[in-house]
Amino acid sequence: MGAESQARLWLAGRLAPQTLLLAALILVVGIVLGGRSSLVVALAALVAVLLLTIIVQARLRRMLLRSLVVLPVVGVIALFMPFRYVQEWTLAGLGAAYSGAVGQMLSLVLIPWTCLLVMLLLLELCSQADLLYALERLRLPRFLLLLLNFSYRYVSSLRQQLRASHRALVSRAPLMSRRRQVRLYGNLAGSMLIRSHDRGERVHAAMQARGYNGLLPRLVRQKMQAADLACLAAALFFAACLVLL
Amino acid sequence: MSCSITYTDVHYRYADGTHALRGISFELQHGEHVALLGPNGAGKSTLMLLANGILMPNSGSVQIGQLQLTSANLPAIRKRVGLLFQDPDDQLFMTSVFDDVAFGPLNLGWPADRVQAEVQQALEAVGLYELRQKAPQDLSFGQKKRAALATVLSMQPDFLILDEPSSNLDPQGRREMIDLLQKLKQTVLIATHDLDLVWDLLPRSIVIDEGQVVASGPTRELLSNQQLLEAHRLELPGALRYGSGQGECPSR
Repeated sequence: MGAESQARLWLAGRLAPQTLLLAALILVVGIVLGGRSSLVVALAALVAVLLLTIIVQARLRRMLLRSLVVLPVVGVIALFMPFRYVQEWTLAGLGAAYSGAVGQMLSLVLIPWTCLLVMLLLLELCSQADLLYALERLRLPRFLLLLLNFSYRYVSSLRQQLRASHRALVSRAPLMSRRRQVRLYGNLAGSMLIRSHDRGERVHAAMQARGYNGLLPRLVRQKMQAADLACLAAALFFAACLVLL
Repeated sequence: MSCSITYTDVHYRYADGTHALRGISFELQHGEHVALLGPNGAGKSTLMLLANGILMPNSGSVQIGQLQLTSANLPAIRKRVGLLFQDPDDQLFMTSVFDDVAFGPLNLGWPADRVQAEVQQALEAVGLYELRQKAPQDLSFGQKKRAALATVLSMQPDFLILDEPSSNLDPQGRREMIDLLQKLKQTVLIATHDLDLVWDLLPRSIVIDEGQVVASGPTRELLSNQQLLEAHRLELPGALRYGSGQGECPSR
């Protein structure tokens, strides 16, 4: 049995998914509010999240690799952020602006990176079905829940469909210019929408055939208990520490 | 409890004007396994959707056991009629195989332990219990077909309406599906172009074309009638073609 399933089993029996989702959101708020004011706090938050990842035996390496996706975005923002402090557009002026903003630049990278790690940790601990259930328990509007559920389920179908359409397109148009291809992809998007609608109709029929009444049923409906409250209290305490430090 | 299905002079016209069914009448007796044959566009799928109340007839009546197909009876009818769609991707919409198979029983309001037991039984019947936590999109096509059948079996329906259960399966997958179908105890209506499956498995057949029943009777009698089959864009099953030497030998 892998580390992931051990961690999931360990937590699944004790904490409701809505608790984990709420705790993650509380941590994110704490990290954003606390890390903004101090680089030390941002670093402390990062270390704490990494430690938590190790304690619950989640796949740290996989999480770190996935989290890298945020770096190009925040890296660029951080790179240009000191420009707002430039008083004189000379090399010396730029140097001064950058040297005065190193801490802020690092915070700017660390905060979103840590927040993403928190969310990835949540994904390690909860299945997609658990997360949907958590959102339902947290009163997310039903149509949004269904939308999320089907988006997850049909992303791969959509990808396959797009790949098939792309192959059909390029196999019959080897000499087509890129410009025309782009225009054709526009048409393709239109036909994909129509196909999606058709499939949606069929899926809806299949759901109706099995007694669908607007709710996504679930076998185990976990309610919040003492352990959940303790977890939320710990998350609140940690977030408060980050903000108040 | 009566487990027959009766269609009486059923007409159905789609919103675009297509007249899909033009006075269809037939009856399926309790426990019968019947094939529904016909060319593409004959009205087979429409007929099947009517059995579950996904579509409602414009005129005529559909009776499921003692229940007349009306809006008021829909929940009761959907409890009793299991519908398997041709494309398993239409049937499997939840995030795991287990959740998908549990969807119907949970909607029926069964207690958790019964749902658990029914899901396990259905998944074991189709040989997919080990894959219960997998996402449906990660299954092979044959596995998806079997999972789709499990979603219907878990509801313990009295009637099974199956649309092309063996289509697009490789020989091994097709054989597994046939083995599964052979074990079904319910009243079963199977729409298919797989005439070999019909020949082997289903004692009675109904042929429809252009929204009407054109023939009904013992399968072996109907499928031996080459004239009838050709008139409705069907062909002799392999057992007959190769047996009578009318087809090409696959090894040649």
